[in-house]
Amino acid sequence: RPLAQQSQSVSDEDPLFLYGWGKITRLQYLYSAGPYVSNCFLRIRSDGSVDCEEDQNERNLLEFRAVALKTIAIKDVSSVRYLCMSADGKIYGLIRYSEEDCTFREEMDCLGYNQYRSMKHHLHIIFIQAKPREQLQDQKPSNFIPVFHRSFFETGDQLRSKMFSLPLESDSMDPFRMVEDVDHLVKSPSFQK
Amino acid sequence: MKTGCAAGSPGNEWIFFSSDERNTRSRKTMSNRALQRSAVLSAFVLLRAVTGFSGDGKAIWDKKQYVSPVNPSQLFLYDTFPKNFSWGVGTGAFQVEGSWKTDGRGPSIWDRYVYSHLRGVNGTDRSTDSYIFLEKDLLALDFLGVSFYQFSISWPRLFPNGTVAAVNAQGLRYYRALLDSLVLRNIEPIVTLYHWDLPLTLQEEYGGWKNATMIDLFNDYATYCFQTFGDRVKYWITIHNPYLVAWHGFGTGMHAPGEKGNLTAVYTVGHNLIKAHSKVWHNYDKNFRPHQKGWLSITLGSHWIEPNRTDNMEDVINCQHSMSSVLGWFANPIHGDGDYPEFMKTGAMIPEFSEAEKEEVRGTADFFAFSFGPNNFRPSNTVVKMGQNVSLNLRQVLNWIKLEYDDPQILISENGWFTDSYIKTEDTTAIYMMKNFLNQVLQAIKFDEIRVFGYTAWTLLDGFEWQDAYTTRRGLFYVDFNSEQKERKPKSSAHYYKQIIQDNGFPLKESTPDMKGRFPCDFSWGVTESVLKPEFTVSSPQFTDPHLYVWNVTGNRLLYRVEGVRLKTRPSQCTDYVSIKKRVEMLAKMKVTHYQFALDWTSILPTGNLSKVNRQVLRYYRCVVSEGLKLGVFPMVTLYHPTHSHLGLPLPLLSSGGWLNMNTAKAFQDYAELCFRELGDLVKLWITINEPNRLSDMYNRTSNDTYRAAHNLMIAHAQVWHLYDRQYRPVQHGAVSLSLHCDWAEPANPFVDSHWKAAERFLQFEIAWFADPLFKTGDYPSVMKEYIASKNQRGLSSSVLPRFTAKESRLVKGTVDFYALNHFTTRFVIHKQLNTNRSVADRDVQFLQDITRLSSPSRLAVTPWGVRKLLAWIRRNYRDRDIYITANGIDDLALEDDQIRKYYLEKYVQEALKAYLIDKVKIKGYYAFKLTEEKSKPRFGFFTSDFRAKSSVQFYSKLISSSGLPAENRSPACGQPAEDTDCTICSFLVEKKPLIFFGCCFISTLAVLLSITVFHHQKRRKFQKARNLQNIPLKKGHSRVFS
Repeated sequence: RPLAQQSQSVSDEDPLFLYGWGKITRLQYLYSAGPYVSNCFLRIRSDGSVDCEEDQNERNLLEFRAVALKTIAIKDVSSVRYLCMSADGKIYGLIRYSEEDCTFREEMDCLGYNQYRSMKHHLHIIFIQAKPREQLQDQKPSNFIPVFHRSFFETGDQLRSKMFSLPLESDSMDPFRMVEDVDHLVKSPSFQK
Repeated sequence: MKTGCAAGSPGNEWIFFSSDERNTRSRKTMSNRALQRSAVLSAFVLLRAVTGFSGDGKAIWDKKQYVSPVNPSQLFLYDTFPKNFSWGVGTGAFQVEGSWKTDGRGPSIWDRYVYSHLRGVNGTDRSTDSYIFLEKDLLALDFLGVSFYQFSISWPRLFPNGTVAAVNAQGLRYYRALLDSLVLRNIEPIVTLYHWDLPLTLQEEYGGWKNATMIDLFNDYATYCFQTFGDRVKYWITIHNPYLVAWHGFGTGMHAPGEKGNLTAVYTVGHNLIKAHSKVWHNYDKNFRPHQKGWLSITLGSHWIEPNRTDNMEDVINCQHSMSSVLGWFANPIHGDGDYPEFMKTGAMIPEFSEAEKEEVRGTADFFAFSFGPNNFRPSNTVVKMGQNVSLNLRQVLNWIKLEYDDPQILISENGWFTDSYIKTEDTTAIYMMKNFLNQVLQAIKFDEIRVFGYTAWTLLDGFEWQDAYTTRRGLFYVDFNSEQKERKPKSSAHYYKQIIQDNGFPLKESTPDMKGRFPCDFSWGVTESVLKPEFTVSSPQFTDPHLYVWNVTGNRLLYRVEGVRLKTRPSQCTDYVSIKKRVEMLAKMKVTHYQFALDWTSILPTGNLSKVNRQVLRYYRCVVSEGLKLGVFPMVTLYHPTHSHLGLPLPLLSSGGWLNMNTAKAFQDYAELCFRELGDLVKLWITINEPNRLSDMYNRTSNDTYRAAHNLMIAHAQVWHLYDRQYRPVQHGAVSLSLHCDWAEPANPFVDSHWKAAERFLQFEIAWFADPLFKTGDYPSVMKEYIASKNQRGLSSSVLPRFTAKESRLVKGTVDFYALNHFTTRFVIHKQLNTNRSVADRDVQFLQDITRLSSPSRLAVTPWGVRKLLAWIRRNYRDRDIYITANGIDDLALEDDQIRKYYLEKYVQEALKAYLIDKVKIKGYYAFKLTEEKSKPRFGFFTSDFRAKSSVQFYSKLISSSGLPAENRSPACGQPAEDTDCTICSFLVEKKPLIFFGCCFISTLAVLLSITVFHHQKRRKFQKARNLQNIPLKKGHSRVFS
């Protein structure tokens, strides 16, 4: 169901460049397709834990950066955390990139799913939300599908027109919501970041 | 579209007139009305003679061209309406007259509807009572200064049973008195014959408008009105908003007579209303216009609608169908081709016009009278839409009318919005709705050449609001319905409308026009970054790996190490950091003289104390500074830059309470000392803490936490300042300050005194909170202390401001070397009593977004004049100090051509220039916010997250090269005189460059030739020696000895 949003026509550019092959860095969502966790998008929290969200949003947008042939580093754009793996196969988020723990090989299985394997620990990413009771070494790897960021498919004009159209509440004496909530804090772009 | 009217920098248009001026204006207005009156009359021509029918309304949504929000045709237009523009106000009889059962008035369908459907309303007791208090209505009209008054005649007050027989003498007397009073005041009456209060007898005996007999009955009533009042009335409206009569009266049942669900009845009613109007028009045209010389129309109302996507043809067609079903239903027969819209005729229930009837109804309006108000938008589930977006864009619908009905003359016959019933005279939202609507009309007139000749603000008085009864208010004047005397009290919107009428629009009231000028040559032109995340190591292994490798020796595409060979490594350099290289490139492209960024405390001291110092991170920051200096870019370094999502404190400090724990201040001092020691020889401008007034808001469990955190932050800053002052200033000669978030505040409603006080109070609680202790007194602002104390006394707050001890007061006082401010926008402030345990509640303010102003995607309002007012306020309060604007910028979605940012930069620099040149504010530097941006965040960057320059980069660098906004023919920019003075040799070298180059080439060539000659000569000698050796024979004797 979350993938339904992506059913938009793409431009007739070279598909490889459209999908970011020409770039060192790709911005993508990572859709988890089972076998343990399905139908959600991977994200790394600010505290370093890894979980899933049902909808694509700014919190679970990921940056994929190539560091070697077929080898990538994955970073959550919002929390600025790298996806890393410990020796026992547990995944977590780190602020600092560790070449040993945060480097993964991007592989494709026979069904077309993406799988990610640690270069050092030789273990696949196994994404389980509950605490695992068994050793991770013998479990099946998790399947993922990279999902492109929405901005790939929207022209600048469309983005602009969406943002600038104010929502209208015609049953209100303040249909443009001019008066802000009383709890509204003073915000500064320098602080909000 | 016209783009001739350039938008200047707007000043604050809330300017009051003195009482003397008011009297003078009143007299002038009186004569202006007479002038307007004759001018309006002479401006008209009969539309029937030239009526065409374009039917091109759909084109309004076909525009493929995106118009930039900073295009002058889209910005708020500071201009005046045409000289002969008519300003008016309107009422409906049933809404305001009252006296429903007195003086011979007959009952109407609404009298019965109120009784049967709106039982909460006591029709006898509650009313505006215009019938009784005519004099008070006239005073209200005088107050506003309108040139016309649009009101309706109550049919049952003239003819209690509806049929034209014996007129009710008392009703007649009332309308005569009203008309005579208007003429006496030079106020043009515009009379509506039918505003929904049909005599009840006509409903019961004939079935009301479902019966075609009503056409002749209405014509009889109209004829009587023309005969009786036509000598004083030059403008007639037959029916007010027939769409609502038909749709809500017989479809939804929300209006009288309250019949429901019968679509056939709805369309029959509409059909009869059109015919009734047409018959009356022909009657007037034939029998009364020759000697009364008046004009007649029908008020048509509608909503407005926008497609979800303008490139979706089906969406656009649906919008056209929606407008056709509402406005086109009546406008097509009357203003168009005499027939219903094609879309409506596909339905089975719509009646048909015969050819003779089409000819009869076509062109039966002398102008297009248009209603655009909440009755066509609410309840929202009754609006005709097919999945599209309802919009309140009056300008667009006027454009639609122009395209659809061949550019008619337009009177806006009803416009405005409503407030909830609890609102009395302080109707702040209504001001902004009016401002928005009116400026859209002005834009339509000036840019789109829409021929609007008059505007009717709706309504003069609070009154009965149809299905809302008395639960909403729409008047410019407040009326307490339960009072005896029904005083009409002008609301803020009345004051505002009065001002607009006096000004005839929105003249630019900026005290200083845009100016040309320059900042001094030593001005700091900077760019701001937030926390600069360090690279922990240089990016390449070449500096540590001494081995030699070969590639693909055995064909398997792998690297092989060559054993036994060790290469020499070199120490890493600053330019080996990839991010520094990128950053330096960006700074060079911007041509800034200064670069402000924040260190990452957590990276430098992970444990918070000096037990573990990350030297690599310090080296990185030192590299950033030194590489910038090589470029001629000077640093301003922030020690601590917290953000909403990352407080930026080392983890142990964060865990122990953050800034509520005084130990954090000590740790901060140690950290600051380390930075001064490691970087202070290169950095001369320091910011201790970025926006402590925002950081304090994060400690909001209680207000006392907020105030305590702020208190500790000030002490921490002061301690660092003293540290620098004692130990480092003597050798490093730098300056230390902290940057405050300083937005400006204006009253949302300038007609309410409490809003002015709230705006000043906001500045005290936002800026003076920190600035008074640090810049002035060493204590909190007295306004702040007194206000919190008074709230405590009234039991509305339990906040306690910490007290500065005598020692603390001496510690913090004067601990800033310059004033650093981050300014982004101006806030419109409402006074609102608040009562929570948060510190934001102590100031009793609420914010309002002015929808008429250009704003960014994150709803930051572009209000350039605010920065000038802020600078003046700071100068007044804190004397003459060096001021740095350390952050100023806006978000813009564009990835390449960021027009909002360029517009913002130009306007804000312009205002800073005025502050510098005219107000003599000592502005030392301007830092644009910010260098780069992160993906999926508001786009504040000059460069995208992948380091591509937007067009604002070139714009800003040009500003910098010009030192501001110089006149065209001024003297050369900064830099050249200095060069001439300091570097004579450089000038010589530049001048003689070709000669020097040629000379070097010649010398090089000569040297090479000489070398070749010498080498060749030596080689020849060796060859000759060799040949000589071969010619020496061996003696025979020597041969024997060998053998």
